[in-house]
Amino acid sequence: MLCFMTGAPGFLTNHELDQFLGGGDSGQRQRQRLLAAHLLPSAVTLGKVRRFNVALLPRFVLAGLARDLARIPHATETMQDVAARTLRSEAFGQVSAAVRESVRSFDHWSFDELVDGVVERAADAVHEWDEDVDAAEQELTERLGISFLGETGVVREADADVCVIALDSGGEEHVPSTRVVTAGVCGRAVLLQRVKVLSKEVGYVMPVENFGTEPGERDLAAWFASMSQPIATPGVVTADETYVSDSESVPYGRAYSRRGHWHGSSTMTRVPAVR
Amino acid sequence: MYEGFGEGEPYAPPQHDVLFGDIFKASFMLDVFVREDTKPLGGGDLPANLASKFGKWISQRVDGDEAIGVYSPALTPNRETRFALAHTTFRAASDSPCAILLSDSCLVATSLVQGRQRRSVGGRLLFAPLSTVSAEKWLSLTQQQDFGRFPLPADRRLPEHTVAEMGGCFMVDARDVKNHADSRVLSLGEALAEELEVRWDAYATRRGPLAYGRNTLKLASLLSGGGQPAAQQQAAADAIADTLDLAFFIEGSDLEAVSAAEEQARIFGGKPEVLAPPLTAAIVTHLRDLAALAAAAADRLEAS
Repeated sequence: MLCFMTGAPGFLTNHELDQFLGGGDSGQRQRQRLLAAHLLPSAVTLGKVRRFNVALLPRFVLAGLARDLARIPHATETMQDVAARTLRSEAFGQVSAAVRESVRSFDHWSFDELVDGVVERAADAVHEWDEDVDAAEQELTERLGISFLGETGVVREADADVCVIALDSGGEEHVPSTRVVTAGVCGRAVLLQRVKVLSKEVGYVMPVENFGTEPGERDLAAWFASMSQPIATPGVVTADETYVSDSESVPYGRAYSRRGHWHGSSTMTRVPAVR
Repeated sequence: MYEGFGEGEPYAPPQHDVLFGDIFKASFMLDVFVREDTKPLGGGDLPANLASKFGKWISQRVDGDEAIGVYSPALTPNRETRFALAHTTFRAASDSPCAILLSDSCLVATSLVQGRQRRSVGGRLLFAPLSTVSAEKWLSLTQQQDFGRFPLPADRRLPEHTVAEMGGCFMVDARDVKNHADSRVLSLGEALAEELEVRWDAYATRRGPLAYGRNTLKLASLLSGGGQPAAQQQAAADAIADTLDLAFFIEGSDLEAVSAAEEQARIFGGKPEVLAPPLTAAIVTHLRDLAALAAAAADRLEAS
C-alpha cells in the first residue's frame, strides 16, 4: 500500500492571484486596486526570474479578494500585521529561495510545477512554513472571524468554464475555471481552499503538496482516481450486439399459417420420480 | 406469435421448487464470459478498517463498515475461491440483472436436492440473460423467429420488451441458485415453457419444431421455383412437418412416459406387466399414425 502525505501550499504568487481575479491584464489591474485599498498585504518581491516577475504571499491573503473584508473593523491592519510576521520567518526565507530556483527552470508558468519544485528543494522548510501559515489563519479566524478550510479531492471534469471537483469527504463542487490554478486533468489530486469572509464563501482550487512520494507514485494515484470515474449509464439494459444473431431471415413467408402438433411433449419441465 | 398463446396465462408465480424457465432477478446474475485476457485472480475482501483508507486513496467513497474486494492477476490465485477476470454485458448499476433458467427441471431437482435423497447441492445451472430491446425490435422478434433470441410476453414484473438471450448463456453455481430461490420474480406457464424449450432446441441443436418448420418452408419455396411458396407446395412441405411433429411428440411424451414407468418399477416396485401394456398401446397407435402421415407426406411431395 502506498501512502501519501499531502498538504496545502502555504504560498501563492502574484500570478495565481491575477488568475483568481479574472486573469490577464484585468486580473493584474484588479490586484493593484486591492493592494492600493490595503485589502492585500505587501508581497515579498523576488524580482524578475527568467522572464517572470515573481512576488510571494501567504495563502491567507485570499481573504483579501473578498471586498467584504473591508467591512470588518481593523481587518486590513490585522491582515498586514499577520502577513508581515509570517513572511519574516527563517522557513519562509528558504521557501522563497526554493521558489526562485524552481522558476529558473520554467519555460512557461505552472503553479503545479512550482509547488512540486519547491517541495523537492526545501521539503522541511515548506512543512515548517505551512505550519506557520496554518497558525496565522487560525489567528485571523479568532481575531476577524474569517474562516479557512482546505478540502482534498480529485478533478472529475474540466472544461474551459468550470472544473468539477469530487471531494474526498463526499459530494462535488463546481468551481469556475478562473478560480483554478492547477491543470484541469481528470483524476488529478487537488485542494479546494474555502475562504469565508462574513457570509460569503469562495472556493479556490490549487495543487496539493506531495511529501515523501517516489517518482510516479502520484501518477499511480491519479490512475486509480481516473478508474473511479463514474461511467455513463444507458437508460435501459441493452443487448450485447456481439451476440451472434440467428435471424437468418428469408425474403418470403408461409402462404398460410401452420399450427404445429408437437405440444404437450415437454421434456425440460418434467421432474422424474423421487430417487 | 407463440403457438401456445391463448392456452392459459403465460406466467405463473414461482413454485416452491425451482424449475426450468424460472426468472431470477439478482445482482450477481451477470452474463460473464471469457476472452483471451481472462486470467486467474488472487486477492479477496479488504477488511473494513483498511477499506475506508484504501477507498480514500483511490478517490472512492467506502462506507466505514464495508469491506471491499481487491483482486488482481498480480496476486496469487487461490484454488478455493477460483476467481478469474472475466467480461459481462454492460448495464446500468441501478438495473439488477435478470436471467431465465435453461437447465431442465430434472437436472435442477438433482442439483438443488429438490425431492432427492442422500445428495448434496452441487453442480452448475445454465441461465440465459434477459435484455431489453426497442418495441420495434421486440415485435420483429415475435414475427421472425431468431433461434438465439426469445421475446418474452409483457408482464408488470419484467422490464418492457424483454428478450431472453440464448447467445449469452452463463452458468451459476447451484449453491447460489438454491440460496437465492427467493430472488425469482416469475415462472413460465406451461405453454410458454414449451415455447422456450423448442426455441432452446433450435438454438442448441438445430433440431426440433422450429428448425424443421423453417426448413420445410424453404423446401416449399424451392418447390415453388424460389421466392414466395405457393399454397400447394407449402401443403406438401407442411405434411413433412406434421409427420415430424408426431415423431417429436412420441419422443417427448410416450417415451418419457416409458422412462417414468421404468423408474416406477425399478425404484418403487411397480409391476412391469401392469405398467407396460397401456404404454405400448399408445406407442403402437402413434407409430401407425406416424406411418400414415409419412406415407401421405411422401405422396404429396412426389405430386408437387
